[in-house]
Amino acid sequence: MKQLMQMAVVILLFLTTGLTAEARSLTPVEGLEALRRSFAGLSDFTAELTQEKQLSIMKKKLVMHGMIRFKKPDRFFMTLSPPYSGSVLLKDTVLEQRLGGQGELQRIVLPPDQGLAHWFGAVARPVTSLPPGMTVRAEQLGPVTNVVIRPAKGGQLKELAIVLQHDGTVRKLTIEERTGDRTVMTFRKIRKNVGLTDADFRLE
Amino acid sequence: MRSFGLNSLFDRTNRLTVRHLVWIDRITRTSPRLVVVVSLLLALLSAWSLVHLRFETDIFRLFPADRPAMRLLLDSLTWSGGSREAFFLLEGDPAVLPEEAERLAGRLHAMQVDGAPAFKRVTYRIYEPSEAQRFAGLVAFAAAHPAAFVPLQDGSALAARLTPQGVSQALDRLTAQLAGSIGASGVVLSTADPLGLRELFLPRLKAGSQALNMDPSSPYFLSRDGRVLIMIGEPARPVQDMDFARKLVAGINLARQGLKVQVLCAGAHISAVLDESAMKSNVLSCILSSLVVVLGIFYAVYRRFWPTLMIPLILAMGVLLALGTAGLFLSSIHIISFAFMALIIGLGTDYSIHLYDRFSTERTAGVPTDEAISLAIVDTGQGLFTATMTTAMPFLVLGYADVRALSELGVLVGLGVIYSLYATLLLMPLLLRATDAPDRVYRPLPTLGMRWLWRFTGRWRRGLMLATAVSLVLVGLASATISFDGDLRNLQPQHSEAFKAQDLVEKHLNLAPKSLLVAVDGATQNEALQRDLPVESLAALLAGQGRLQSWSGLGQIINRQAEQRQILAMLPSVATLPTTLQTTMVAKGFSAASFEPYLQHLRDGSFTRVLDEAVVIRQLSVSPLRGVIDRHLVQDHNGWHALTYLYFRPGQLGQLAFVRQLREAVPYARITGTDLVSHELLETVRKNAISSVILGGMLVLLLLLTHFRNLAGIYASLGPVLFGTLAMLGTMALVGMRLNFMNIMVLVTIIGMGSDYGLHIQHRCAAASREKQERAFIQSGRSVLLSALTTIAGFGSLAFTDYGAMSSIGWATNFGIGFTAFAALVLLPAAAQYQRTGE
Repeated sequence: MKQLMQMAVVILLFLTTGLTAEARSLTPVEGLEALRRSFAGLSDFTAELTQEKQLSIMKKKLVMHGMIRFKKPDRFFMTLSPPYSGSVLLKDTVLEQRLGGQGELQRIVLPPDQGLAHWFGAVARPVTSLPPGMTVRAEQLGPVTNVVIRPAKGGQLKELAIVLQHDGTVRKLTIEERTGDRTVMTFRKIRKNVGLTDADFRLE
Repeated sequence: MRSFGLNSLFDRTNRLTVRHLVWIDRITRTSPRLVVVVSLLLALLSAWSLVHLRFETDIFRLFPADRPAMRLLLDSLTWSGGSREAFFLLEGDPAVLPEEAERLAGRLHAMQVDGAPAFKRVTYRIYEPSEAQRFAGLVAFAAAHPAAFVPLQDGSALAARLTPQGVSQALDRLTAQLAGSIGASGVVLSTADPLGLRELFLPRLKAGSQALNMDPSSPYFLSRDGRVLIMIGEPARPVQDMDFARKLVAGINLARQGLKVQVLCAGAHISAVLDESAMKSNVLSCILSSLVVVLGIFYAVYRRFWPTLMIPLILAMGVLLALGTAGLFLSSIHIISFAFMALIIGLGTDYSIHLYDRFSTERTAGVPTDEAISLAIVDTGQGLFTATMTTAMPFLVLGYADVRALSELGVLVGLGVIYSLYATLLLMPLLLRATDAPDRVYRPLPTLGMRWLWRFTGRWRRGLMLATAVSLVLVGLASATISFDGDLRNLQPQHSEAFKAQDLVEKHLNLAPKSLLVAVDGATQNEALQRDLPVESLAALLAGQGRLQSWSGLGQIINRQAEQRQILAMLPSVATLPTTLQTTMVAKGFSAASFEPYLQHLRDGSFTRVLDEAVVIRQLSVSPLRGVIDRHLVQDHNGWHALTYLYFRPGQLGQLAFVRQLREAVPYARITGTDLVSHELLETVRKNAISSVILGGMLVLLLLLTHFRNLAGIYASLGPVLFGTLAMLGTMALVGMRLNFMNIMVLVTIIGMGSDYGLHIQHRCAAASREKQERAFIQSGRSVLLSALTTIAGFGSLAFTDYGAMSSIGWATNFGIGFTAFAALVLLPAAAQYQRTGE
């Protein structure tokens, strides 16, 4: 469940890569609505990824490099380079994961309310109010927009911080969990609407 | 018949028969009010008895529950919850199936009956997300005690993971997993199982929890092809609360409306309501259709309004008295047995036909009303009495059958025809006297081709006799090819939801085409587990010999103590494992403190400990995989039961041979399976059929001997039956019908029903002079033809029911009655005229 929540949030943020930051302070609802609007003009994107994990069970920080792809309405793909090579493919509710080049393929079918299509359906609706228990802070600092989302209590996710560049793309994403685990994802070479096909979403 | 030395007995019996018919004639003439009052009184008493009867709908109650395989099958249904749960099978496009399942589950969760939740629980996922913590708890326990969980064949793989190199590799893999997962999602399971031992034990636990062939990667109870999803609900109240069950089913029907997938329901509540409704509708349509046809036939021939209207009253009396009498010695009647009413309509009308036909014929000849009634009651009544008894006795003999479906049907039909006869003899004369007048003109009744038939059979008697002999050989040969259908499913309503659901499960979810269940009982859990060991050994042996496709027992899920010792013998020394793991963790950047609970287990020697099976079972029982235990170990008021499932392909395992092998190896084990239940039932039915044919046949023979006191009468009565029976079997074989547990009893009942036709013709024709034989044949032949038609109308209505059991009886009887009537109407006059000419 925890994994799915995080997956959903991460994907939600990837969708905002086309966002254009505005030079004013945003109310919480405006901040979420801006994220939603940016998704409307997006059909797919790719980006290079650097991920840093500081987990409570590890003293060292895990640093990984890789690449992500997304395609509407329900495809997501992430691959990591050695030494932590592995791939994740999500086709709506079907999550497939392979560790290493030859690792065993793990396949999990998620309930529909945790599938990509469900989440995208949710973020496609205009935001008029915050979901119960959720708090959002949004601030504009020069060309950078920071949006910090704190979901309702009860889940594993404590806080999500998104850094948007002036062109609306997500540059940095920080996931903080109640256990103290923290993941920072930084994106480079972001390309939007490049015409990705199903062939780009396969676990070899 | 002097050789029997029973002449005086037969004479006395016939005299008694005649005397009681004379008495009936007199009392209907002299005390009609008394007849009406007594009839009403009996009807009231029967109605009182009837209201105390309970009506069953459970299809399994139609079969003997005291046989071992059937007993265990019923037990297993109780253990698995099959008798108290509601099952929903969703079939449709795999792309929308999970979503629609969620919608349905939401509706079922929200459903209320009388202001309270309709279901205690609705399960449709292998485990709920809320159970993640308990799942982690199970993994932590199993990873700390791998000897109890890792399959024996993976002992070397386990050993490899416990070496310093294996530990290092495991932690590298763990690091990669943590890196590759989204966020910190892999942390909880990592601390529970840092060595990744769950890869070795989870597959067997998941496999063991599945009674059906489901997609192991799906969180739903989903078939491998993704087309069928199972949802299980536990209704809030038991099935006995019929008011609740009806409201529940109404709610279910509402809940499944508007979904993009087909939803089939099964289970006790659904059966109790839907099947009961379907059964009632089936039975009612049988009764009404046969009544309409029967009355139509009667009116079409006799053109008399009041006698036609009298028939339903007579039949109602017959049915009511039969049910009332049955209520005196039966506490409940299966609703399917109500189909007997259709048979009473077919058979009971015969008496009105014969009686009225004789009355009308005599009146047409100018005989006064009273005398015509007396002739009908006393003379035709003799034949009717014997015919009724020959019909009723074989049915009543079925009352001793172990198969309830047959015994209830036999008793009700047997009593029903007897009561119908007396209702006819007592009530019809009252009506005839009330509606007849001395000057009333009776036109000759239509001959229905009987005159032509008499002359035709007289002209072509030799050819007909020859053709009969050839036909007998041909149908005899064809009948020898008939086979037996032992599949109980084919007796069920073919379009019922339960049948379709069963079909869907077989098509998409069955683990193997064939299966057996072996149960071992014990007073305590430990006793059941220990007694189950030889069964598991036998199953493992069979699997090793390739005689099983797979098997599932507790020994397949967890390691018994002996196996744990074998695993431990394969492991390297684990004394240094805690230290090795801790230092390697530190070296690879892990926080060893986060793994302290696991390390402490290792230090405490959990890896080398042999666990009691009860401890392992307790752990599984409180985990999301508790279904593994529920499926293989059950406790009820009789104690504990260890269950082993064997799966195989047709021909792979000789089931009867295996039963013998099991009895020798584990004499206390019980075993069941659909084939075994069928076999058991077949043995029972065969035994019942043989004894019923012998007893029923002897009774019929005795009645015919009493009536005719010569062999000619017996030949005339039973000859057409022989022809009809062989032709029935031959035709069934030719059209692809098979004998089954139900229609095999037609072989018994046809003797009584079919012998009537020859009996009536012989009774009238033999007594008549040569000159009057044609007239006697026309009258009796017309009655026989109409009787056969009304009987076919009664049984014919069964032939078109959805119930395979009833339908097969209907078709078989119709074939039998049709051919028997044909033989009586064509061969008997040919034989009579053949004999008369002295050829």
